[in-house]
Amino acid sequence: MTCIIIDDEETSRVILDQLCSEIEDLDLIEAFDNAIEAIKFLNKNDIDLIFLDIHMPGFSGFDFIQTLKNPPKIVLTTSDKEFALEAFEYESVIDYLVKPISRDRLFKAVQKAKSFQSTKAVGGTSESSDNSTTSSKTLYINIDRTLIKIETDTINLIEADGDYINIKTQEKDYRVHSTLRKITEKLPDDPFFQVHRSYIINLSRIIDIQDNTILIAKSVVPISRTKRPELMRRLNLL
Amino acid sequence: MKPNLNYIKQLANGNATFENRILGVLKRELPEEIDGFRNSINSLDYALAAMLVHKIKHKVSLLGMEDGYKLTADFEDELREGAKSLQDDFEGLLKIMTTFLNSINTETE
Repeated sequence: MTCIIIDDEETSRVILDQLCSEIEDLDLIEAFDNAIEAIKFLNKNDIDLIFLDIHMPGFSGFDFIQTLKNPPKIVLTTSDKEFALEAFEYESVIDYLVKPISRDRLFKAVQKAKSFQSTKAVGGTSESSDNSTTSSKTLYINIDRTLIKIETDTINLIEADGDYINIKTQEKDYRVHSTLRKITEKLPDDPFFQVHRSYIINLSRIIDIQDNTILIAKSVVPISRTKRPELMRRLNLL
Repeated sequence: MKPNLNYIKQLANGNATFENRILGVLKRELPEEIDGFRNSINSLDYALAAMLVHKIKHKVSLLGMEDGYKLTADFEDELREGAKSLQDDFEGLLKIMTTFLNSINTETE
């Protein structure tokens, strides 16, 4: 599990750094003294857990959480107890540590984060995510007892095939025992759209549309008559 | 209000390098925060002063000063409301902390 620390106080960063280094399977990737630099980092990197200080000048921990579209799990750290209730209003916040942080308390928080992660990884038979978040950037599929990670933006289209679905990505095609309805729950609404009872497509991968068919990569996909008006609405037509 | 190293020693768990690292950072960071606090008071920026007092509050608790923690928390609240009646008491606390930290030798010095 990977983590970062965001805290403007160096003493706190040093303590968290040391305690994180004592935990097996927890890799501290970076420690930031301000939230802005952390946002830039998170735009380019996937992280499992953030230790986030609430009190920071200019840009508080709560401000930071609100800027994240798909936040990882967050453990808040602060010298105050009075923010605990507000903290848990955020779905991504899994724990709240009052400074000075004790080793045992931190370990429990990390354990909690790990349990969330493992639930997410093995929660489904074909797709991994079991929570209500439908806009995940990544999807895990189960093939021969191996969980394979797919970045959803690399998916060109998904095709129903009996009791299976074929997930066609830019690099590779995967055949998974699942249904279009199940995978729809795991995909972000944008840019995916079900154009036919047997096809979900990534709208950003369309090459052209002719009559009632769409060309995506090397695949020709039919457009259902009932889906066509909504498809047209979602396209940026000149 | 007497500072101690109980929490830091417990945290270091016999790891002298870690203990020295924390103390080294404390000794360097606290004076910077104190300077920032005094400058913000002089420029009547009580919101910034409260932010810096908040950071110092963590160090007060790291040094095991329970009474000092309450004083610091009260002073922080007061500053947020634009008052500073506890400033002299807080300055006294800062002096105790600074004297204590200066009396400790760390290998990083």
